[in-house]
Amino acid sequence: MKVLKTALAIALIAPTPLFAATSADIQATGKVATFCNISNQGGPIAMTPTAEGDQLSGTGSYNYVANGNSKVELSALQLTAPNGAAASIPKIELIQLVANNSSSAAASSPESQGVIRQDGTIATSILQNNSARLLTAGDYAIQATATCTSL
Amino acid sequence: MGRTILLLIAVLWSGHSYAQTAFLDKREFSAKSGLVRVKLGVAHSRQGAVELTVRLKAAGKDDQRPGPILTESVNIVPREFKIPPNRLRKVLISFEPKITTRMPYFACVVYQPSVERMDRDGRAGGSMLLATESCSRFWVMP
Repeated sequence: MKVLKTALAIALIAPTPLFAATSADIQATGKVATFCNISNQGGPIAMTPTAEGDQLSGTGSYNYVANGNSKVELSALQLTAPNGAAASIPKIELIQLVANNSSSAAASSPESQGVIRQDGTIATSILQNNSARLLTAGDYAIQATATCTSL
Repeated sequence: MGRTILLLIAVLWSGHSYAQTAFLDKREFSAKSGLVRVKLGVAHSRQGAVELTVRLKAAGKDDQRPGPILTESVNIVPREFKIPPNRLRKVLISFEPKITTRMPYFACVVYQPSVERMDRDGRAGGSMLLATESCSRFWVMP
């Protein structure tokens, strides 16, 4: 009995070596879905005419974030001009990313080739394209869609 | 679901603002049963509640570019909805592709800003309205 009591006391006083065989395998796993965001930070951009009356221009800002390979496409530009307006060329540029001045074709940025976080300026303009080098008076508007695609 | 929420929190706290996002966990689907069901989460971080539209697109000029919007035999629930900032809305896209080879598709969420009247003090001028769209590519096997 004495021997048993002694053995029990040793086990309680020095438990570490006795329970050393206990082990816990820890495994942590995780997965992040790919995504991308392109945002026009300020809503509609107002364009004001130059003193010469040959161009309207305005600026805004964009933010582009992706956690994997992605790209950004600017759709064909939809220009609204006054009735009978002289010829002009619309343009939208997401500086250092993609620019488009076509009313019929989209333009695409290069692939990001990985993660990207980029803030930049949106420059937009309507430039006269006629012999008088003037924009016809009235209200103009450009509409387009910037699409980021997570690949 | 837990991963999606964690990702949403990470995105919303990562410093950028205003963007809308379509979260898509799975990137490959089978069309063996005839019906493809794609679950995605949609969120945004603008100041107030905004109207978002979800759409399914086929490939465009190449397999990296979204092309035409698909509507035939496509069911999106909900297709359009108003959502407060920093909330995740689950969306289900189901469609019946008629394919014989592996094909890319794009799940997209678009935000169309409202046209605001601009006061130009009587002067002529112009405005530019840029809608923004986030797409995630996925593949469907026959």
